[in-house]
Amino acid sequence: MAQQNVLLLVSLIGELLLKNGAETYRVEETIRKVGSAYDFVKTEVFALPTGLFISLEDKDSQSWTRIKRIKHQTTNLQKVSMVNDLSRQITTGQIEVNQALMELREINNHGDSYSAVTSYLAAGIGGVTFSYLVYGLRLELIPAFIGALLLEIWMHSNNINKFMAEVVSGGIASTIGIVSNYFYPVLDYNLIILGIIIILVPGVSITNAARDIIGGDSLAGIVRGMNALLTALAIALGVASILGVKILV
Amino acid sequence: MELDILAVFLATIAFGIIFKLPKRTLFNSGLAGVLGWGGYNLAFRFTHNQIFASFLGVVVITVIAEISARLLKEPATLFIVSGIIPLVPGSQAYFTMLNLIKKDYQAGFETGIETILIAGAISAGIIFVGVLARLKTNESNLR
Repeated sequence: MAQQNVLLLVSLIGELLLKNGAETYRVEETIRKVGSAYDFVKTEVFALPTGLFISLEDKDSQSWTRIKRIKHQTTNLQKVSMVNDLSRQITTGQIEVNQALMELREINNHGDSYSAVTSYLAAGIGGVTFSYLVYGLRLELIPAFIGALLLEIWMHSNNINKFMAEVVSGGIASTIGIVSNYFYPVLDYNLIILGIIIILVPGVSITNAARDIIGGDSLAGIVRGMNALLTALAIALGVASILGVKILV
Repeated sequence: MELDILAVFLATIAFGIIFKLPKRTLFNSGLAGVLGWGGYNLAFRFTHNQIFASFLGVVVITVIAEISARLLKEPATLFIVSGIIPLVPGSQAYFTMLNLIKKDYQAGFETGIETILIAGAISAGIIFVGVLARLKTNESNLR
């Protein structure tokens, strides 16, 4: 049935956008536009980072509702961009529902556009260039590069709870910093640790949280803000538990 | 100076790859990062106020992002998230934590407030331009 398919389509669109780091207003607006493109007179949608509530109403005032639980958030802006393209096609070109569903499945299964090695190297370069911008050209950049690269490899391969993974990451970063400082005392371990953990900083969530709150999606913004704060605390906990031993001993 | 520009450009693109931006948006986000960093430095040279300079840098980034978004038909966020990386107060956040571990609460409080203010300035800059960019398109876009 056509209406059921539209309902499935919009819930999949919303899920894909929310999972991959889109702002709340983009999710709600996209769903509203797609709903009206498929002749629904009313589209109500309430999006949170952890769940999605959609209700569609057609001309005969019959309504369809779907609730979707969202878990496991990542940042994959390639997919956000692809869904954005698809919704633009739907609203202007009027693609058929079934075809849109097929394309959406394709987007969902779309592999990463960068090879694993590229993203590891990018993490290394990101760590080095960030610490260069803060402190200039120093010897600390070398361990920062290696550390950021290793950390990205570890974050890719581990399969444990996100909070724990971040705590361990903080621990790895400060261990690398302290070990480099132990063998080469000229190296300042603070600068090394800083360069490594910058790749974990929840920049996307913080920006989205602020935009959500100002845009009126206060609940979504608070949830995102809490997640970002939790990430920051996890990293700090990991760094502090290793570094604290060094400082206090 | 040239090395700084290269570093900002590389940093922005590297974080773009970590956030998995589409390849065709990488150059523009790098551009946004470089020009934003330039705006930050210029403002800092004249005012010596890190918070105002951050705000101005982010305003530049968001303007470039909104223009790129219209040119390439992509969401503006794509260009913002990695463009702001050179400006995020990562070092202040780190030293806040370090001061707290050392039980130097006075210094921790100072760096902590500084971190929050810079982060606030960055968000404010994004929202400021975002609201202006949506003023003209009426109907559902206005919120």
